[in-house]
Amino acid sequence: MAQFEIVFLGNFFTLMLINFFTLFLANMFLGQVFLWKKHKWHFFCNNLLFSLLISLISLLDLSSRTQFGSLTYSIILSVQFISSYLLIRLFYPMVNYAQNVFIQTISAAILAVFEYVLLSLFLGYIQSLPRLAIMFASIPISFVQVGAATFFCYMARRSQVVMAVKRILDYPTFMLLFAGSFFFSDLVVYSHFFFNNNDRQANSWLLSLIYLIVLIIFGLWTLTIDQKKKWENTQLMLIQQQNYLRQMEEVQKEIKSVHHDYKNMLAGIYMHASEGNTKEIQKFLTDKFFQLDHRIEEKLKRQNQLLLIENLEIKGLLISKLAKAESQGITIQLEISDIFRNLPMDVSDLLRIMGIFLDNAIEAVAGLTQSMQKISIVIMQDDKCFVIRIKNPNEHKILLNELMQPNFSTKGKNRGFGLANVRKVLAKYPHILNDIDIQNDQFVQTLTIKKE
Amino acid sequence: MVPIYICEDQSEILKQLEKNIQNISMIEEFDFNIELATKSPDELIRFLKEQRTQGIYFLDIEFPKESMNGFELGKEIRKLDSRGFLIYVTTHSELLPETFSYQLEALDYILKDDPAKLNHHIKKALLTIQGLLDNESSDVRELFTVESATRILHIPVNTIDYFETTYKKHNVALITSDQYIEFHGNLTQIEKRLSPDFIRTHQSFLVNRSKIQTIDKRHRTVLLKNGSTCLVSRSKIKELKQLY
Repeated sequence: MAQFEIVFLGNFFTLMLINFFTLFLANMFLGQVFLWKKHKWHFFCNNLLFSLLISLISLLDLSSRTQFGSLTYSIILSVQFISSYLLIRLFYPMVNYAQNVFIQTISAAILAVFEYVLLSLFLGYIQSLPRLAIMFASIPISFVQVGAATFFCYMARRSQVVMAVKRILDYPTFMLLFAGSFFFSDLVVYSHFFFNNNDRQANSWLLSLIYLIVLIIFGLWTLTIDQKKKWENTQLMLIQQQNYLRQMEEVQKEIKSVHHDYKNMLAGIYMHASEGNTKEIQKFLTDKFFQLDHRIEEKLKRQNQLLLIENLEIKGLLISKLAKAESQGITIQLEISDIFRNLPMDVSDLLRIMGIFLDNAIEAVAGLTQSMQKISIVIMQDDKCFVIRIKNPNEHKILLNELMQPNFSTKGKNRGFGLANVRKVLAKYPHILNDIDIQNDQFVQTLTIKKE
Repeated sequence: MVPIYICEDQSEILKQLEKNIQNISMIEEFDFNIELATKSPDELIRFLKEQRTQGIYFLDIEFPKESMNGFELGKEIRKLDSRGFLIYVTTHSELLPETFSYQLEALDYILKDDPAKLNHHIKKALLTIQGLLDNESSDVRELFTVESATRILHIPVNTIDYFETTYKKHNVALITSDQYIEFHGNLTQIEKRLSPDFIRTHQSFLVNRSKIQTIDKRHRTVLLKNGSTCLVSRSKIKELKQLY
């Protein structure tokens, strides 16, 4: 009995440790540390759950002297999460936490397999050839499953039916359904293999049950995260609306003061007119009247432009960058000519690229004189594509051939990764073109995104 | 004689524009002539369909009573007259200068709500056009046409440094000293079109011969006159070394 306890605890703690380590590595390499910060407790619980589960299964196997059930279980589990990951990537490209769940699960599953190999070696578990054969038979079956899932995803990507289904089912429901279908297919496989052996059958049913419970937990869990995300989105929207309201109030105040001034000015014009002084009237009109309107117009224009962006994340990015630029005294000219909805690319990727472009532009004009501190952001579209253009004065006289070199940066050492990152992100989108233009002392980044 | 077309829905401004443009053309002795001044975009399009020459267009952006706005009108005009000069006459709040200059290659903007400078602006725009027209007639450079999704660019071949394959499939980039333009295509086809002025130094590089400065045999690269470097394949290095 003591042996069992040692194995259980040993398994549990090594799994926990290695899990956290892989998570740490994954976070480091994938640059998603912010997710770690945001979903700390989810990660922790996930880890705990998996380590506990797998250690429990190993204990179960030890006590009932079976091993392949858990092995196949781990493999299927890992394979399943690869496929569900693929599905998520294809259907819900912006779900970041799904990636993390995936990374976690994969690492856990791989480690579990390792554990079992080690256990088999040390305790001499694989006793007969038929068992080994059954163990390996499950692997190609899993592959077939993944193949089918991938094929389905690929075929279904553009079909109308799937789009309709996608609209009806939200992400957690879909995830649950998908997991459920896998559960059933696995059940069939299991029962087929274990049919002639009562002990094993019971064991497999137990495993399947655990499996189901885990999936339900996962489903509920994603549901909560989803709700959290919705909540965050609402928060974001609230902040934006408050911002908008404040701006509108300012506009209103301004209109009030203008209204007041109008009367004074009209009186002035009347005086000039009564003296037949047309030159003075003209001067008055250009100096006062049109100028007054400009200030309000500028504010209204900005607000109207932002209203055209329906994507909350992009809107949020623009608002925050506009605020950042304005706090530094930089003028940003925003031109959005049409309603801007979702793009044929990951929003997270677009956010990253636009963030880099805007940061570069803001840094480029930061040290310049007030009149030069002008950035223009243009978002336009026609029936074929979206175009995003960011333009700033090229005072640092960046040369194109220098820019093309890796690690180039005007900001000093070890900082030239922005554009390289853009390249890396864009490499997966052949339908997005990125042009750079440094004519007329202006630095212009253009992103042309073709509509599919 | 270059025709000038004016399309503006407010009759006072239309008259004002017509008068000013006529005066400036006379004073500066431009070879321009107002062909049509109308309130209706449709009328302008109908008129243009009958005679296709390079023209100068003064356009309003908002036409509340019409089916078409100034931007769409610009697009229609571009279809009929790809080399014409578009000048928008607009108010400050309607203006999207970057968008218009990118998509329609609009030349200039004249602000209605800055009437004091109206004359000055018109004059400036017409002078620019005169300058461009003078250049155009003396300029017979070979052009390389790049078609991207939104627009067609004509780039003088002698300004191109090199072409390279990009990090994306089926995409190549055209590099001049101040432009980096990506488009769909492949180097082999471009090589066929531009030989013998260009040399394929490497599987991923097509270099303008006249831009080559030196060959670095050790690193197997070509150094261009503006400082860029391109790769050279093993098989091409000898051939290049003999040439330069």
